[in-house]
Amino acid sequence: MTGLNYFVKREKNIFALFLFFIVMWFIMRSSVSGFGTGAQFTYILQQAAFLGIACIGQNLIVLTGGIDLSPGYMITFSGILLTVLCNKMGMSFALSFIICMVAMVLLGMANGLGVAKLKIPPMVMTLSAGTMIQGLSLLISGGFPSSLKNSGFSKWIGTKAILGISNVTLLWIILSIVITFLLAKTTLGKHIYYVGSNSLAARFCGINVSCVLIKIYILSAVFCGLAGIILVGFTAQSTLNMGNSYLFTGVTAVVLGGTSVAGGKGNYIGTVAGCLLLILIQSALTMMGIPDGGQTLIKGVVLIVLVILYEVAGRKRA
Amino acid sequence: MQKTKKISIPFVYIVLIVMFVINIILNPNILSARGFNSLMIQLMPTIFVAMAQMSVMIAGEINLAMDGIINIVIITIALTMGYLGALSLVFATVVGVGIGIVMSLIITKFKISSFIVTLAFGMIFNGFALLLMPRPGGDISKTLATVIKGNPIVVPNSLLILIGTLLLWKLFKKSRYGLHMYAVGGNEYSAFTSGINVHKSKMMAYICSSLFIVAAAIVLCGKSLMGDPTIGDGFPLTSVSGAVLGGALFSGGVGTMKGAIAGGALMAILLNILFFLNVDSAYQYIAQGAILFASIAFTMAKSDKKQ
Repeated sequence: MTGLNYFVKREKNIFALFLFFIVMWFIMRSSVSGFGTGAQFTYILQQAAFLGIACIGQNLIVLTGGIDLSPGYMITFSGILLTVLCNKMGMSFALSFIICMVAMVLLGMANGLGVAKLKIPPMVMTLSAGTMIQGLSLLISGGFPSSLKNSGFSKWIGTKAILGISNVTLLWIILSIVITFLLAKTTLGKHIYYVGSNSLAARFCGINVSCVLIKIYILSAVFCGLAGIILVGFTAQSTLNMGNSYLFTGVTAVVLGGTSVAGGKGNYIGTVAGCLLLILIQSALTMMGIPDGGQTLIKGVVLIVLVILYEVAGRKRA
Repeated sequence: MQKTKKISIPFVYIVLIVMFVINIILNPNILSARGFNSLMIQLMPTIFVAMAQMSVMIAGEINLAMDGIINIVIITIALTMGYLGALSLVFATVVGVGIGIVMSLIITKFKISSFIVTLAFGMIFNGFALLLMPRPGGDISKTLATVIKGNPIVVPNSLLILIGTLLLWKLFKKSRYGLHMYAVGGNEYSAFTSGINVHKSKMMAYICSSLFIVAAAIVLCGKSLMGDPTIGDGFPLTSVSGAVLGGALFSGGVGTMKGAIAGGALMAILLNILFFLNVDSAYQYIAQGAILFASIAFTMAKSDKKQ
């Protein structure tokens, strides 16, 4: 219990965010007709799981003080690669999955090498890599959406594991625990925070900064690839813009979760709360019949208001 | 030392000239007055957004709200031009500069990273533009188009506008405010201790940025003759690439407008060439990414050596 108390005390923002999520849920439930069924809760958890898995890598990269602009393109690429391998080449699902993951590791390594060794600013490196990856996606797909015929995987995505929680949500919960453990208890996790708060000092302390960065970018690409594959399993088809919405939404979730873009501060639990909140807002607005433009506007307002609140709250404590 | 100084022409100019020559070979038409005019109109929005990004990057900040500002400015012009006439351009400028001032106030007063503030403002105004005008429409007077697209004295009007802006910037850069902007970007703390009003300088940077963005929006308006609420999408990332190609650093304090113009022009001319080559759009993406990567890697390697 002391551990929980300690967590609540230290991570007030995140605790407040979860509370905000619950309060919002009940407000929406009482004010919007048809909102708040159990099925919808499952749906929100599942949608948040897609976003959450896609922004694990973004979270790690932002912690090191960088930014990744390639997630959207990476998600699209891995989704398309999977359908192409499965359908056009007639490979088994497992083999295609492995090839996809290997491809993602290579792409992530390219990003990492560019940032760590060539000293290219992360924003520009990931953007130029992302543009090239989008070209590759277009090249292998021929520009047409294609559907995944492997029904076993789609079925696995759709089935509920326990207590009405779908398999994807369960996977997200497991990954969240792993990432939280990685950040809090392992050497790599500590190194990420050191590199983020002062990369020069970290280097003088004998941390191999390039190695840490390359690992992080590989992890980011791999999780984006995973998100892309799961997304393909969910919608049963891959399109050229399936990943687009995940880029800035992912950054928003990470920042809402209290991770500082200056690096070195934050954790993944906050991002989990951020993802849940964003998806809740999005589905509530959709049910209220608010058009796309209004949704974007409200998301922007929520982002700026919450970030200002964090800053004001942080100043009071200091 | 003397020798190395002589050959250190920024990489971006060399690439730009090469690309320009390639463009001429592919399409000799651009040497005619009309061809050159249409090329300039195509390059202009990208050049202006690169300049907008450069002015904030000099002060050590970033502006990702360009899509939102461009969209809202264009929608403002499209909605009000029928009633206000030319005054609507002034009104739109006020809107754009207002957004810049609000963003800079939030960034400086609450000390929040400009990345997030401008990202959020981009979202807000993208959404707002879409709410105001869900589909492209509105009426923009043909006079604007003739002013922007015309070339009564052989030299395209758009080029004259660009030269005018560059001269204004030169004046601004020499002034107190301009110098302060560079100082704040170089080292905020020492600028503060030497008595520079850091908040005001950052606000100046965002005002300049907004003015350049409004210029880009007006050119886009004259080009398309209607208000398109999504026309600005993609400009934030293009502008960052253009500014970095032109010598800006994310840490601030360095960079010239000439560089930004060259960087922006390079980004736009590249698309032009790929379009003329009629290559598959897949290869267009790959070539665009590869050239951006190569130019930046080369620029970085060079600046590393200098240090």
